[in-house]
Amino acid sequence: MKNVCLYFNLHQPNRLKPYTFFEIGTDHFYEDDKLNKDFLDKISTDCYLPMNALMMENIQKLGPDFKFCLSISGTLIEQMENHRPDVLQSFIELSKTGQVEFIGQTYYHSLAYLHSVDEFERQVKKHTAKIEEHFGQTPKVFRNTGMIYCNDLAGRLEEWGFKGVMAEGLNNHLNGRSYNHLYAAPNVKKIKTILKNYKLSADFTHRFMDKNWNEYPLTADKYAKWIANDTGDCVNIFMPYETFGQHLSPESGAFDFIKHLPNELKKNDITFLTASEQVDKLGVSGIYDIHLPTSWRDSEKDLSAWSGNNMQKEALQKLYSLENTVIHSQDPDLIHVWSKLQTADHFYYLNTKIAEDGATRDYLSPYESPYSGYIYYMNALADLEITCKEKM
Amino acid sequence: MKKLKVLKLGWEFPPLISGGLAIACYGIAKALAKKTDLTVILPKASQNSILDNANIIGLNNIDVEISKYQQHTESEVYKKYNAFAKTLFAPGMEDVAPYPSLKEIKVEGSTTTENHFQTTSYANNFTHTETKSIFYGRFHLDEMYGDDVQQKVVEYAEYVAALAANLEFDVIHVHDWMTMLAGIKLKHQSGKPLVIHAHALCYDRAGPDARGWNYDLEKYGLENADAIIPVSKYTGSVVEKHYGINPQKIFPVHNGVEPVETFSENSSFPENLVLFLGRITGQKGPEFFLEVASKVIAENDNVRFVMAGSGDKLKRIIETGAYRKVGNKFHFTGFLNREKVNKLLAMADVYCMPSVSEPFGLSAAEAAQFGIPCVISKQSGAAEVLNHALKADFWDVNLMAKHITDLLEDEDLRKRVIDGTFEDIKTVTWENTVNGIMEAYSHVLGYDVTGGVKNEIKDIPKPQNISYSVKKKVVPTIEIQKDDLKKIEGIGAKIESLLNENNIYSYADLSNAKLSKLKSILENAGSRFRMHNPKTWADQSEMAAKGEWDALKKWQDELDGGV
Repeated sequence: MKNVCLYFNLHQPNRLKPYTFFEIGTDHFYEDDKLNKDFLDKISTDCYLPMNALMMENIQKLGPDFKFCLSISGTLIEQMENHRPDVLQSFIELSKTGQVEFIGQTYYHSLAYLHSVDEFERQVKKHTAKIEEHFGQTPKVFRNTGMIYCNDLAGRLEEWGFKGVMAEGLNNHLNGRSYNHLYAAPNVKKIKTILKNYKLSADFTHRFMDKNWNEYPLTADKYAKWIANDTGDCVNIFMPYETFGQHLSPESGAFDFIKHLPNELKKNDITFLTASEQVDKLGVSGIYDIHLPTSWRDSEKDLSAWSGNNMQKEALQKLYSLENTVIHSQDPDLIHVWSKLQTADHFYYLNTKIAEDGATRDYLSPYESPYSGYIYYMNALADLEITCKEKM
Repeated sequence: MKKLKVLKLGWEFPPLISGGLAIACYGIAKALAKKTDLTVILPKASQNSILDNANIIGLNNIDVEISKYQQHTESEVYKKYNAFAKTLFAPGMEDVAPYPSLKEIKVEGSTTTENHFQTTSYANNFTHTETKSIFYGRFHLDEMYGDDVQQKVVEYAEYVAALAANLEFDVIHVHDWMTMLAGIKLKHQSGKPLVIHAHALCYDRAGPDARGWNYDLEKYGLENADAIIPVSKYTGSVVEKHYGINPQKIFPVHNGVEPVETFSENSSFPENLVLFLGRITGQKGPEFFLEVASKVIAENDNVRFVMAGSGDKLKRIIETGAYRKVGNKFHFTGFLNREKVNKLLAMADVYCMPSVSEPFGLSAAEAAQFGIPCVISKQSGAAEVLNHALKADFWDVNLMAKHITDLLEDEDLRKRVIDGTFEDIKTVTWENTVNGIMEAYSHVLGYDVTGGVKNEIKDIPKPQNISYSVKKKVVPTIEIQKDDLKKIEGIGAKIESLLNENNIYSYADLSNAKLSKLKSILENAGSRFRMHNPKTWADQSEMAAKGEWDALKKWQDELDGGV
């Protein structure tokens, strides 16, 4: 293996407060500002700032050879603008090195693609504008929320000028082929599909702390060798930035791992590629044919994490039923409030899965249960509906 | 005349309240204390459990000495009692589920050998273990019910019997299954008549098919009672028909209702509000409420439903509400404190109690005091008292939905129901309850202790700012030209509001509307509108818009229903 692409996504939702029945009609602010700010402060201290410092150190140490990709949601950028401009600045500093590529996504980290193509397009453009504003780059490669992907998505992104799109590399769709190649959807001319190497990505994100794993402990040296020995054109290691410091505690050695990984990769003569470079340099090895949307979430790798049960379906249906009224109101505040309610996390909190996937939800959710999350969300939506009715 | 000496055994009593039982026991005791020499024995009483003219004994406050099972084998009754006393688990124990369950009971000096839990069948596989309790000291009750509630019930009986050996009384009056065992023991020890007050039965909590020790204990108690006072005729019929009790000894007496301080508050949203208040368990019929709500919401955009309370069915109802796609109009509050409950009562436009089996239904009477029209199930005691409330069988969701819609749309009906139920509750007093109780006492004692009292009517102050009209429909805030569309032949008030909802307000709007659009508006509004034919409406309104009223009138006379 000659190439590797490191990609990190970053996102924070605007979590809702326990919005009770008695608030409907009186309180039009649904978010828990304090909680969201506390979350941002904590994740900044635990992850964003130390990681940015580490990556900057790697850039300085390894020079122009070291590159990676970031995708930051619009909601997180807004939170940083409002509460932590210092953290935003540290991302800007990284972007100034020219060795970080910013990847497009929906501004509100939403499921809009699945529910309203118009809204999806608005959010993709809004996100592009935000990235241009702060980082002076125009995203050319796109990743959808939860790595949700299908042929139709690739087709639309191509129309809007993207040259690459990310997806989960799923064996049942690869039919024996490797995810370490670029592929194309059957319905596109140019846009290339970049597949996540879920095996190697999960070796780090899911098994790094697993003492029962026969490869434990995982070192940067060992990991670099695995990448070097894997076959194909390019290994795509995708993971949330928050893996460092949040999912994997500082005591786990995760920071140490990422500190040494670039150098170990370099030692193995591996070239760092950004997503765009990969698309520019490498050819397509075949068709990756996905009719129904896939994702990188939960064991099912489908949409069930966000819309698997009736509560999720109802919340989504009622939210998007307001689209026409909200958009036609041309009221920027109303549009913004409605849009923030689209953030996928709101629906993820409502999933009623058990076992490992349920435990992950409980770990991420600010609510005592999916049911109370649903109650608060629907109360807030009822209030928004009243506002919309008044606008009509 | 010498006052009748009554020994009352209670379980819940203010300030220990888990439901309506404590409120009822307090109301009865307070009124009974005025006419009798009353002693109340409770498992737990606090400094606040004080009542004028009554002697309240909390077993947590006094030491009682009990020798261990000394006479248990002497009679048939004790044999049965003894068997129950040794039963730690019996099939059907989960029937006590409505009560908050938890854990430890600490009886000082008591140890229990291992429990053998069996959950599989309803066969007679009772598990026996010896309780090696040394019943000396104070009765401790951390949790009123809990997993080991049977043991508490047995121990309570032992304590009460020992304590009451030195008390003088003419009649024993107990409340519900927790105190029945103690009542039976006392009856056999003292030879005094036993009166059982039935507030709620296993039948209500767990359904007609529920069996297990809870049902067995109730049946045993009811059979041994000299008189039974169910809180309604409805519960009386359950006692008779589901427990096989001789109706001659059943004396239904309704509970009283304390006048509550009421107020009215506008809700902060424009829609009307329909309220469900109670534990979200099968007994209260929450599924039926949801089904009724779905039906009303489908026809009426201007209404919200709220389900206040918590219970084992909450999650299921939440998911079903989502499935029925009423999540934005059907809300949940979880458990609420009294202050919030009152706030909801002050906001509500209709109260709905679709209980599957409701011995009384205090909350409906409270709602009536708040000036809220009630829709209640026929399977409730409240239905016997609130003559003017609208009623339906709990399963008849169509009729219940119709009642709610009618109350929201028909102001005359609304006023009749509000005023009527308000009159109804004036006779629902604890004094009248006690009069009924005295009749039951007379029956068991063989002589008249009623003193020939007649039922009284109490004047409950009516809420000052009672509102007979439901909230106004949401109208657009923008100033619009509005004509009386009802002047068009074929259009009534309902269709006019339908057209308004679709932005047709004036004759000009209507004359410009396409026939296909009008048809689809009617089509979408439901089956009862489909038969209307809007063919001539545009032409009619064109004439109206031009002010050609005479010509229009002439034409309309020729038309029939707008066609």
